[in-house]
This record gives sequence, C-alpha cells and structure tokens, in this order.
Amino acid sequence: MTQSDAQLVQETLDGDRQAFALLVRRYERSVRAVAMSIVKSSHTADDIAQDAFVRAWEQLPTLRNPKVFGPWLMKITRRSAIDSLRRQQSLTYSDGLDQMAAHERNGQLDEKQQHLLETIDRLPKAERQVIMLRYFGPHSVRDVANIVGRSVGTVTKQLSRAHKRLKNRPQESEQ
Amino acid sequence: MKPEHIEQNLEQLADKIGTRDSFVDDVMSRIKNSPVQPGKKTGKPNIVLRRILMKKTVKFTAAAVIVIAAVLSLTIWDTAVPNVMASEVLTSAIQAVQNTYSIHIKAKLRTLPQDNFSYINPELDFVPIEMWAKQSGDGRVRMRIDKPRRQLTMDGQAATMIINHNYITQIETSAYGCFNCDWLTRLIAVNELLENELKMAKDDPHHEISVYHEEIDGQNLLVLQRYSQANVSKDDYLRNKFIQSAERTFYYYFDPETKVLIGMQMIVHTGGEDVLVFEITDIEYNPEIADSHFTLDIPSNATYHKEPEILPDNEKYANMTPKEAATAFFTACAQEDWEEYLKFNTESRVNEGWKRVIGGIEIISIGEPFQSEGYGGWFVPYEIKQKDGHIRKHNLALRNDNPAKRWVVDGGI
Repeated sequence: MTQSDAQLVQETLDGDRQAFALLVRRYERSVRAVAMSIVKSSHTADDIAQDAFVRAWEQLPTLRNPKVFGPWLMKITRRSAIDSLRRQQSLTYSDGLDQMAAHERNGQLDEKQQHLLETIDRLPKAERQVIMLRYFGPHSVRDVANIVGRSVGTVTKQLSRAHKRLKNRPQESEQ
Repeated sequence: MKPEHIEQNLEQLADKIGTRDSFVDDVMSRIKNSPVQPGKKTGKPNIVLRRILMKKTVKFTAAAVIVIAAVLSLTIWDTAVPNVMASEVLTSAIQAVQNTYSIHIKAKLRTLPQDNFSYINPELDFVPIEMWAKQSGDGRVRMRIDKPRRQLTMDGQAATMIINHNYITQIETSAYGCFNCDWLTRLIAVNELLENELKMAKDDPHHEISVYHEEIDGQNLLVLQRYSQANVSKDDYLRNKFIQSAERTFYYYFDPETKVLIGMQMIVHTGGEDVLVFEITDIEYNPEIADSHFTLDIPSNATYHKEPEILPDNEKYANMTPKEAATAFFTACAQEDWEEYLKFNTESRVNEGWKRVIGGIEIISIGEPFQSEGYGGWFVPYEIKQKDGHIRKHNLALRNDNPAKRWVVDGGI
C-alpha cells in the first residue's frame, strides 16, 4: 500500500533520507506547478522546486502535523516563488545562460494552460491537494486517499467538487 | 478550453509541466550537503550566533546584543582584552595550521545559485559552497570551488570554470582569484587568511577587532570579531551586493586549547537588521584528496568563453558610448544578427536556445547609463519585450577593460 505523507515524514525525521526522496518524487510535479503558476518560466520553476524541497527538508522538524506535509510544502513553494519574482530585480550575471538552458529543456505553458494552473492554485486547500496528487502525481484515487489520510469517499467528493469549480471557472477572455 | 474536457485538460497540463529525470537526485544531493540535517545530530561545533541569527524573529535581539557588544568593546574590551591579545591569538592560530597541506571547507552563502562567487544578497536563501585545496607532489597548489551551477578549479597555471554544466571559461593564469572568487580563495589559504587578520590586529586604531571567550552549548570557544566598513556609499547601487560593498562583521571561532580555526561567519549590517550572510560550517584539515578531484569533466558540446579580439572595424565599437553599445547590442538581438551580437559578448557561439529567448525582441526603452563606486563598467537601464511577450526590465552591465577596448555584456540580462 502507498505510504502516507505522515509516515514518510516520520521516517525522514528518523533519519531515512530515502523516505524524503519518495516525497520529492511524489510532489515534484505539484511543486513545479505551483511555482509555474507564479513565475511562468519552467526553468525558474525548476530552481524554485529544488529550493522548496531543500527548505522543506531543513524545516521538517518544525512541521507539527505531518499529515499536512503537502499543503505545507506548497506554502513553502509559493513563498519561494514570490521571493524569486522579487529577486529578478537584483543584479544577476547569467540569467541569459539559464534561460538558454531552460528553453532547451522545456517548453512553456500556453495561455490556457497557465490560466488553468492559476485556477487550480486558487482552489480550496483540500481540493487543490487532491487534484494535484491525482493528476500531477499521478496517483489513483485510492493512493491519494492513503497519502492524505482521508477516505476514498471523501477524496472522490473533493475531486468532483474541484472538477466542477475548474469547469465553471471564468474563461481567459473574461478576466 | 471546453469545460467538458477538464480531466483531459488536467492530464495534458500535467504532461506539459513534466518532471525531470535527475530532479530527485539533484534535490537529494543538495540535501546531503545541507548543513541542516533533521533527525540526527551533525556533531559539528554549535555556534550560538548561527542559531540566533538564522531565526529572523530574534534577529533584532541579536542585533541589539551585537550593538551593545560593540559599545562595550570601546570601554571594556580595549582594556580587558586588548588587540595585543588578538595578535597573540592569531599568532598561535597561524602556528596551529602551519602544517596544513590540504583542506576541505563547507560553507554557505546567501546568493543566487546561478551567479558567480562574489554576489551576496541578505534577502536570499543560503546556497552551499564547497572548497578543496591541496599542495600536490609537483609543488603546485590545486584548488577547487563548487556551488550550484558553478565548478571552478585553479592550479597556479590555469583556471577553468564550468557554468551551468556546459559553458566553459578557461584562462591561463597563475592567480588563484579568478571569476570573483578571490575572497573564497583567501579563506582556503587559511594560513594567509590568519596572517592578514594578524596584520590588521597589529594596526587597529579604530578598535574594530575584539577577542573574547564565548560559552556555546557548554563548549568554550575563542572568538575574534572584526568590523569592516563598506567600500561604497549607503545609496550606491552595489551596496550590500558584494562582500566588499557591504558593511559587515566577521567572526572567527577558534578552539581555545589548540587555537585551530574551526568556524567563521560574516554578518551584514543592512540598516535595520544584522543578517548572517556567510558561514563556514565545517573545516577538515589535511584530508586525503585525489589529484583527479581538481580536474573537471568538460562536456563535448560545451560553449567556450573567449576574450574580445581586435576587429577590422574595432574603432567603430571602441568609440561607442555605453548607451550606444547597449542600443547596438539590443538592435542585434532584435534583428537576430548573431554575428553582430557576438561582438558584444565573450561566447564562442550563440546557443540556439538563447537565440529563441533574445532573438526578435522589441526595444521598449534604453535609459541613461550610470556607474557604481564598486564596479569598473557601466550599467545601462533597459526595457525590452521578448517574442513570447515577457517584459525584461533591468540594468545591462557593460565593460570595456579588455585588450580590444570594446564594450562587452558583463551581466544584467
């Protein structure tokens, strides 16, 4: 059975780095998504994602409730992304090289995808978490339930509500 | 986007966001080098200022303590622990490391991962830096400095730096301070570092150096503290962006018995806060380091840095003002004239990926150039619109202190 976030957090705190590697693998795409919803650039998002996981690692002992690892990580990511935006005003010496590498590695999101991503970011916390795990993991509904420590029924309802909100979101031209 | 296909759209979005094969390895590698290891004790010397200053909530308390300590130093330390003592401590510390033939230092610096070695920013997170040096059998000193997206080696004959895994800068030089890493190499050469401190301790008319004992988690450490002024004024563009342009205080931590240097910190005084910006977290003396560790693996598809050559029409470029050079550079980008672009750069070729970023731009504005006290070149404010609609607004750094006297882009893009 898929281990819950809380179990992996506890194993990490017990000194098992591989447990944290599983969390990184589990949340890589979700963290990237949150970062991209703010900074738009896939390459910068990669940096932010790495920084967010390193920060999470360093701050893990301060996480009081291991069950909320996912939302907590997203909060760290969001803060890192906002910091990154602010830093763009700073003097840098090789942004060009970095962007060059970025364009060779990844395409950017189109406007519609960017809009969808931003809408996901505005979903209620619980719904956002299950949507990200379900699609960005990707994980089965049962695995999502195990990861977040909720019942399959609850997760199904939350996914359903999230789908509805995303379907009914204002379209790009209306914004 | 049709609403009825939301699940498909989500799946497509997930595909587009993607994952990177080496991402988990990259994160785990950074974690391995992190000075903070949750769940187990590191066994490293526990330096109280590090603990205090890492927490922003108590920074003001720490700042107050430092200010009080600075005031006290004028009245008490000069008599109780005069600089004669600083000189004695440093003399002993130099003797303690005189038989060092190799060294391995782990440190962290508040900077950008993608920058060279000297940029600092008190608002940024820490980036790990690792340094090695050894006296090889041929008598040469070999050094290596790693930070994310930078690897640098120097051996007294040449310096090689790999930027972002495939951009290579190589120069023949006997110096060990290339690519703005000189302040780090001064740390690696711990003997010279201490001798330099000793020199300052012997002539300290403004009482900027203090020595005292500090009880830290039950461990008695000997601390040498030195204040240093910024080399630029308070409103300078480069204020607090580099070590020398920051108002700062260094703390050296010694074993009180052996006088061996076991840690070092640098705190930047930013006007409202005292922020820990650099810290040596571990020093290993005389580790065994293979010579091969000082040779970098250069990828076959690497792009090389080259010094500007004198062109047939060199005068045309050498006579440009910084603003004209910035305009010509961005015009070359706008027209996708890469031959012209290279005349303002030090790359051997223009990467295709970068061409897609900077090619076909629209110049929105180019402002009036300005200078900083701490930089030999010029900064030219600009605003451009990339093909993808992204607006880039920054200051282009240009300098012409090369043999061809042409303006080359040194940063800010």
